[in-house]
Amino acid sequence: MRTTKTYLIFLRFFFCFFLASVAAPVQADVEEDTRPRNVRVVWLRNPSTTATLIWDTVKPTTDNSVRIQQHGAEEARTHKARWNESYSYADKENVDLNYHRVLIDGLLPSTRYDVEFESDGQKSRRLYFVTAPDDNRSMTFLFGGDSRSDQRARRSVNEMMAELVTEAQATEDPADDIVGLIHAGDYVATGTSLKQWSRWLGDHELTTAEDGRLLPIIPARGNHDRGRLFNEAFGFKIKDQHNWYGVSFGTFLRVSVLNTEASVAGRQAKWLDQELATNRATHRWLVAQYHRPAYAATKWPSSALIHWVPLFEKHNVDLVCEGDGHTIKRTVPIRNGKQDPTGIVYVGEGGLGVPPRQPKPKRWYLQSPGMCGSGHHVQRLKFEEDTLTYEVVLLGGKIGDRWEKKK
Amino acid sequence: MDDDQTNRSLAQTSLWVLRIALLVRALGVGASYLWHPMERESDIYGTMYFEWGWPESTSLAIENAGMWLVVIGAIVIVLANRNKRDLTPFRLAIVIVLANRNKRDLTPFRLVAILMLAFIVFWEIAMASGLAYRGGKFMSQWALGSHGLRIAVPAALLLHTLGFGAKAILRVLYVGAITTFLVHGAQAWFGSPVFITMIIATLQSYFDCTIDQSQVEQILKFIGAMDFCVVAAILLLARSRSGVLRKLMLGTLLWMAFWGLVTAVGRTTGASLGAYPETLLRIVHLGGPLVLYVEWVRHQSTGSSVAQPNPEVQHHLPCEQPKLT
Ligand SMILES: [Fe+2]
Repeated sequence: MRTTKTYLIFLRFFFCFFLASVAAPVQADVEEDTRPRNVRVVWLRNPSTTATLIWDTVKPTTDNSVRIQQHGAEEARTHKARWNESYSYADKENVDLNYHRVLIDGLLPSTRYDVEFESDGQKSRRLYFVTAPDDNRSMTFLFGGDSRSDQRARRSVNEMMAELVTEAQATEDPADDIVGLIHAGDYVATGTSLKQWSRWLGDHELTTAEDGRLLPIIPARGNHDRGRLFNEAFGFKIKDQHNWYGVSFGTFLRVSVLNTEASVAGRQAKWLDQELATNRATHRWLVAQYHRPAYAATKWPSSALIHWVPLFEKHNVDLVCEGDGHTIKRTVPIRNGKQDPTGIVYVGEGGLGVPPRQPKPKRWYLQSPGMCGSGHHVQRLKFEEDTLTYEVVLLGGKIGDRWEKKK
Repeated sequence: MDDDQTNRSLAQTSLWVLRIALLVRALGVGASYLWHPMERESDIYGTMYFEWGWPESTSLAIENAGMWLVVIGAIVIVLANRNKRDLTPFRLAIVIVLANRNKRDLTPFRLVAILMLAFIVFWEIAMASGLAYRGGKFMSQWALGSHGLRIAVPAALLLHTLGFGAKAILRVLYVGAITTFLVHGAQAWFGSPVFITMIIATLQSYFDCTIDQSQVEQILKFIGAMDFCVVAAILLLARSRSGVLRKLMLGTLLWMAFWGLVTAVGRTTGASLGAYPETLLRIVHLGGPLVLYVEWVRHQSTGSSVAQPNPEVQHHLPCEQPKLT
């Protein structure tokens, strides 16, 4: 009798164990499928008071929201995601991924907001972002481009960016604080590949600092970012083919983002002329960023050379950031196609996760006092009252180039 | 394209148009990828280095060697053609270096020409395939089509050198012209940003005319439709026997040549004079259709009853012609 009882207990235990072992992964999978992931903050308009918050889930979810709380305050608000869609081209590669987007406004400048993303009961860890200043204080940005085809390097550079954000927070000088990442495009090799975007978005989470600080991104479209996924990933309208816009940091800095994949003449050139004219009058620093370079370190110059460079010179833009070449470059100051101390310096060329290329140092605008080089890197731009400091931070932390512009 | 063209060779004018188009394009290739101050790398390098992970120095060496071979090959084809009266020092040098008197049918010139042309065809296909594979340009997945004439012109010369008759050669040129117009037509129809910029800039710089982008987009729709009509006309009229339709075909071919030239020149006028290699690269868009035009005129004037065997071909290549129809 006793043996039978023991046997039954054992059988019951075994059955329960069996059920648990089968059910646990199923439960875990469900959780994994609806877990908020690929969290990002995008700045497409006034970054002092608004932010676009986007996250993804593997499976479609019905109840998606973000809980936002000013750091230290008691009151928290919950914003339901109004845009919950499956990414385009999902069928092409049989990838499941859905995005959820919230546009938050009415935020306070230079303020830390703690955020928690929730989809069908699954919560992200507690993260935070800091809104941009609007009081003309000094600030620092990271700039880079081209993170499309060397995932290992991309992950390393992203981790380095997170460390740079953390280090900057720890310094005495509040001007060191890195407020955002200006990205010149070419996130993926094939713009219509959701698989590649999914990997990029996952890797972008590595830019989040250890303490949970999200690094807001100001994205430009690259020549490899064709199709709708760029718009979906960064919160543009799905059919937006312009993707040119300006972001103001108070009246201290204006970042004008251009799109070399649309016609650079016509509407965009008209917009740029207006954009620079308006903002030159009101902003201390003007920066333009886009993908295909006008003063290229390896490639044929893009049409930006004909249609935008005269506008940059007309409105005395302070710095132009370019991508696409997979090199490191800083031109001599250029005006009217010649070196000129009153001219504009073009920096960048992209190294956030691509095989680096050797530049062509014989090009006149790359010669001393300009420079060119090669390597995975990110550029750091520090804007102060009278000085713009530009540095190339190589993977590993070494400074590859440094230059200052005085007002 | 009648059957009598199978054995007939291309007219000397056509051959020279092809050779010159090949040479000019090769100079464009040389400028773009080798000696222009803004020289760049093609998608052959891009594929080897970025996609296949080959060392950059190897990829660059192969790319540059290939580009030089294209340039040298085109010069050889033009200077060392098989007309003995055109003996040039360059040709003489090749004779001295490569002469092999035992094989009369495969003279050094022909051997060199065949190898060079085969390489150029291969290189053109590789450049187009690299672009299609790597992407990154508007509708670049159709690069093999948009580069149709870049491939067809050296292929036509290769076929001629191998002893093929006009029919096969013209067929290749027709296919090249059709795919080129089809893909460029589609790019225009769908509002290629490059075309928009090119039109706005050309009108501004050379005609002092500022035009709204939406108008340019309308013009591009029209241009795209025109390109589609050209393709349709060729497909429908190529075998026509009626006089009016043949004249229409003639006009279509002339338009193709003219439009090929206009759009090639537009690449420079739409940018700056420094962008001249962009025009040279596309001169085959004039050359290819021009040959089709010349041959169509010739075909009409000689009539379908006159077969003109290619004496050079028969002398050099006594083997049988493959059946092409
Ligand atoms: Fe690019």
